[in-house]
Amino acid sequence: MTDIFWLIPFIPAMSTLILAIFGQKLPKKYISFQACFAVFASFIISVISLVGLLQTSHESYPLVKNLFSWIHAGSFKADLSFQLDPLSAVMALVVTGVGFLIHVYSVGYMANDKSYSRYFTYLNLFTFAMLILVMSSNVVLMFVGWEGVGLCSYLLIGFWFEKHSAANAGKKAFIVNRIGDAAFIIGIFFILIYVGSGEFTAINSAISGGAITQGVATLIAVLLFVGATGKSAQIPLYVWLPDAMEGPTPVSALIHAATMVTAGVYMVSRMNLLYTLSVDAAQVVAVVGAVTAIYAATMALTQNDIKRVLAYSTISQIGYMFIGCGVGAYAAGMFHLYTHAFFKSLLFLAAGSVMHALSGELDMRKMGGLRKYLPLTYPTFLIGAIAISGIPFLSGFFSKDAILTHAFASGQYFVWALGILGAVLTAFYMFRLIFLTFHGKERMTPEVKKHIHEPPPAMTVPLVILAFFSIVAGFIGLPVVFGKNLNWFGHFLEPVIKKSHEAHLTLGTEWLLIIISVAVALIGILIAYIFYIKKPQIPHSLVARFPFIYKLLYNKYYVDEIYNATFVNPTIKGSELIYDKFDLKVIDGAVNGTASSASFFGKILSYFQTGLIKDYALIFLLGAILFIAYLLF
Amino acid sequence: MNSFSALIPLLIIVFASLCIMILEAFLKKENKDYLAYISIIFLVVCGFFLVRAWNKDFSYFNGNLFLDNLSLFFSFIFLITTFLVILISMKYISLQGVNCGEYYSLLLLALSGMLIMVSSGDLLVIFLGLEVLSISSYSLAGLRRKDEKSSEAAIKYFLLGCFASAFLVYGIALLYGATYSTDIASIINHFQSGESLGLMALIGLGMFVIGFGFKIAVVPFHMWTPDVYEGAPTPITAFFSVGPKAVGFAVLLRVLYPYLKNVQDSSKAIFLLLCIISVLTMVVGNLIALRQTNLKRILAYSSIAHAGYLLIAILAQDNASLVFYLTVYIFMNIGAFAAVIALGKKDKEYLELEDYAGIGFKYPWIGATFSVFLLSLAGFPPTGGFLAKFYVFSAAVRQDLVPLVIIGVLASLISVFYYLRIIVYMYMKEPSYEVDINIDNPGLFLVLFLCLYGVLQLGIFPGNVLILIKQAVTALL
Amino acid sequence: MIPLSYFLILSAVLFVLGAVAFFVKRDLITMFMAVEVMLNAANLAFITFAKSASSIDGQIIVFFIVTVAAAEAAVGLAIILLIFRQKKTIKSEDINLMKG
Repeated sequence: MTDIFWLIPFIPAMSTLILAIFGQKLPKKYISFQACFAVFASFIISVISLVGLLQTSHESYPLVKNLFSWIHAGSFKADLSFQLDPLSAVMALVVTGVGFLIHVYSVGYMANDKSYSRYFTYLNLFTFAMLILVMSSNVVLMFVGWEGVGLCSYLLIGFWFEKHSAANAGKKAFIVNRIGDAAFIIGIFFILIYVGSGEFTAINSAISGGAITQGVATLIAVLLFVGATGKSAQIPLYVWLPDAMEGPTPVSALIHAATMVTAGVYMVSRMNLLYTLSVDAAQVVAVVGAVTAIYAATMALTQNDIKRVLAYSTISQIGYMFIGCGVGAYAAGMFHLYTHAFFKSLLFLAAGSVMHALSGELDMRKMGGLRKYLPLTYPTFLIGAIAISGIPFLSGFFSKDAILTHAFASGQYFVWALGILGAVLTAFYMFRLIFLTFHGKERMTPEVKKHIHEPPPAMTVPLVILAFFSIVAGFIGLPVVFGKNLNWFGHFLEPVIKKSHEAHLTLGTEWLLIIISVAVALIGILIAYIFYIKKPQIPHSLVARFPFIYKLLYNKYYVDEIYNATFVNPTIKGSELIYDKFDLKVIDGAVNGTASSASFFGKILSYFQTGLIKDYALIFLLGAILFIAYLLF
Repeated sequence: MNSFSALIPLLIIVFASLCIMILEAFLKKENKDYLAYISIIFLVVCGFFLVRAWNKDFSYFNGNLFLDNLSLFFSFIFLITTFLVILISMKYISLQGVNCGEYYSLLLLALSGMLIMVSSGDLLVIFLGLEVLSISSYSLAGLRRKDEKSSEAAIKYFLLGCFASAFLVYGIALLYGATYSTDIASIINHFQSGESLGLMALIGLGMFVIGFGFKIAVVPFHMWTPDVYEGAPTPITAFFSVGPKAVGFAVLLRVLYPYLKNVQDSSKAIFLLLCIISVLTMVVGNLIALRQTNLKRILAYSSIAHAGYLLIAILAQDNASLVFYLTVYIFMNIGAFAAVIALGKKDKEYLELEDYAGIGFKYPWIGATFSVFLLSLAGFPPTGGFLAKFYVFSAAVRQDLVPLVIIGVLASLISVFYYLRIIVYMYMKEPSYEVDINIDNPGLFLVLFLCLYGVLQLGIFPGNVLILIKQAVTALL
Repeated sequence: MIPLSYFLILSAVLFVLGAVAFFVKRDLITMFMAVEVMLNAANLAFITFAKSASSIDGQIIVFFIVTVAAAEAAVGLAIILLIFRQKKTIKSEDINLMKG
């Protein structure tokens, strides 16, 4: 039952191929059917594989399917081989499951786009690349998927490339990711050097066998994590993600919220032995995660663009996942990844449906009171917001609580405090979003108002399904206070994830922690209620009193400007300088000189080619005489 | 295992050749396509027997003819070569006035010569195979009887080929005198035991290498190559550029690999000479190619340069990478020639660089596939040409042949210039005159796509072929 | 009894003469005959070695080489005839349409 799991990435690949070749000529109905069906089929196979996996004994994990050898160069070898274990099964389920719903949603959302087939080709290609990333059994193939999703992300952010800002955002994402990837690939090289193989099983046995010292582990782990900060939009490489919202909204939901950006978390969990070995690297992960979590949350406070708020929220939530990984609670990090995939894609899709209703309006200052116009979008959006804020008993509550409890238990009080502070901010900005969009005064222009309507069923059905999962998805990983063995998710991942030093908290402490995190969430919501419903003048007076802070937050700490001033502009200036002074004069001169002198020698040599048999024989004979003379003497 | 099965593939090809000659004599049809189909059927049957013999180690005639895995692998790629050449010839021979049935017959005879050469360990048998190949090749080069260039190619190839054969035979005679044997294994044994006649044997081996140096076209024994390639009918040029070259390297591999590996002291001189030849070949081939404007001559000099890279593989004693390189080389070179042949119509071939201006947009498939083959020849990833060069150069680095690798890399940088120039012409030059071609040529397009597939498969997923090659070269150990 | 080394020296001299004649002579047929001389030099060497080892192998090889030479002659003369028909000459320096 499990030996067909290699079909999971294969089906979207086939679909991509067909769409890429014939897409222009196929009818839209067929394209939508094929694209959705391919992902759905992968989803079904993922479910079958999961069932099969549960029936297989832990000793035989991971199941590896080697399709064929890809590169053999000396002792280095990389195969096209996939593996199935709890970690990749969870990821495959998230990618195909959420991916399928977003494909369906896209059918409605993109219905009138002129590049319909191109869109679905990219989307299927993305699914394929993401599945390669999560199912490969070696780092080299994983890197192929890693680059593949980066490429798709670039293509889809710049999907409406006629729009200048979209094309620029695509470029920005691509370049920023390259920086991370450079570190990532160096990390891979170090793995290949020290382990001699890219297979995860080999890496793990090398680590547990002591073949890798702590110093090397730190080096590799930090390099890989730099790659992860690029892909998963963490400090300092997060800057591309807010701009990535230029892409179509379903793309933001799938790639820039649910799946691709969490690849870094997956990678760290996959390499958990490495990060367990290197305490320093794990500490870096935890601190970067915590700082990002709160830093991004503060930026979300002042944004007026509905998608940008969600983008900063994504950055912040991924920060939480990294906190989980950094404090050794990989299962909790993965759990948050899994619940986050549901509620964040729900929020994005709901935001997309708001945009759809308002003819593409993104500015919350021009919304308000939409509650009664969008009777379906509103509750689903609300469910998503409650889930992310950490209100019991929705999914986000369980996963965020698991992370924060583990952070506290491992003695990282600073990280925990940042996490709690972030939770207040999260609840605040999410409900600010809700109140500004769905409550209060209606600030739409009259003609926009005329067109407000609920989207078609292709868009609403995925919303409802995602809302359902946002509520219940958390129940497979209940914290210990509700009973000893209810954390089914954690147990499931145990074969892959090394049990860290299990810090034991008393039940009383656990309860206390839960109460604190619920309390801060409620406080955040309450503040938002006061600020935006009860006394809307407060925010304005705050802005008036602390203009500096507001400006700083509103302009996102001027990080883009700082990067521009310190890295981008000097690079452009410098490269222009080099182009003018060095390239045009020195290099071109050298190249042209080499070319003309090579050509000159060629001319001389071709004089010998006289076309006469006797000259040819003479040169042959001379060559032979020299050859034999050398042998003689 | 002594079995008649060792002889069957060879017999099939010889029988096919004779069959076609007789059919041609009695059925005087204007359209010769049926002969091509018959040849292909025989090739397929022969291929079937080759595949069946894998891992069986059949031999016959007291071991003078054997089918170990290496012979099988080479035989099989020669079958593929001939198959591709037949496909690109079908339209060509009726368009370009080579419409005679001997064409296929001679081609199969040449193939049989190559099969003999790779499946024997006896120098005399190898020589006989070489002559079967060569004599058929001389006639094939001159088959365009009305074209003076074709006759000129034939006479140049013939005279210089005989001249080289004489060196080869004399070399074998000296080796025989020094060792009283013509069997490679016992000759190598003799070398190892270090007899007093060592110098004679060394000169014999030297002359043997010179004779084969002519076949594989290394500098300074390469002078015939551009003229013969230019004058011969283009599909035959495609055949010359891969068949005799590959078979020459196969024989050199059988002789030189055990020699360089087992004979330590006296092999230094030959080793050094081969290094010099390799460098000369890469440098001279690529430099002269820069000056050429005729596509067939460009590809001729490019094939000379490739012999230099292949020689590095022999020097690095990495048999697998040599065989892999040859396999890739066959696909990319035949593909490139197929694209050149595609640009032709009745009694007219377009062979000048100028003719290629704007072709990339006018005939997108030809332009695109040709570009891939050229990029592969130049060694760009993800094509097979890149991996082949990569394997050869990295093997050479492992053997501490770093200077050779540096020169090799520089030489292939030079080569990028003239390969890309063709692409630049195809895509970035405005055509100054009309080039119309006969596009109705399904066999040729099949070859273009097969070669494209081969080049990309070998460049992206070489795994399976490499496993086969690794099994094949164990025959040498 | 003539020493065997005399035969070998004769064979080497014949080979060198053939090689020199090949690029000195201008007539295609003479050039081809020069090659035949070289092949026969090899034959002589083979027979000499066979005699000294009192083995029959070398003598048999000679028959093969003679056969090969005959086949070469057949094809070669046909090609030379073709050239003569086209150009009305068999001087080697007249054959240089292709060069460079």
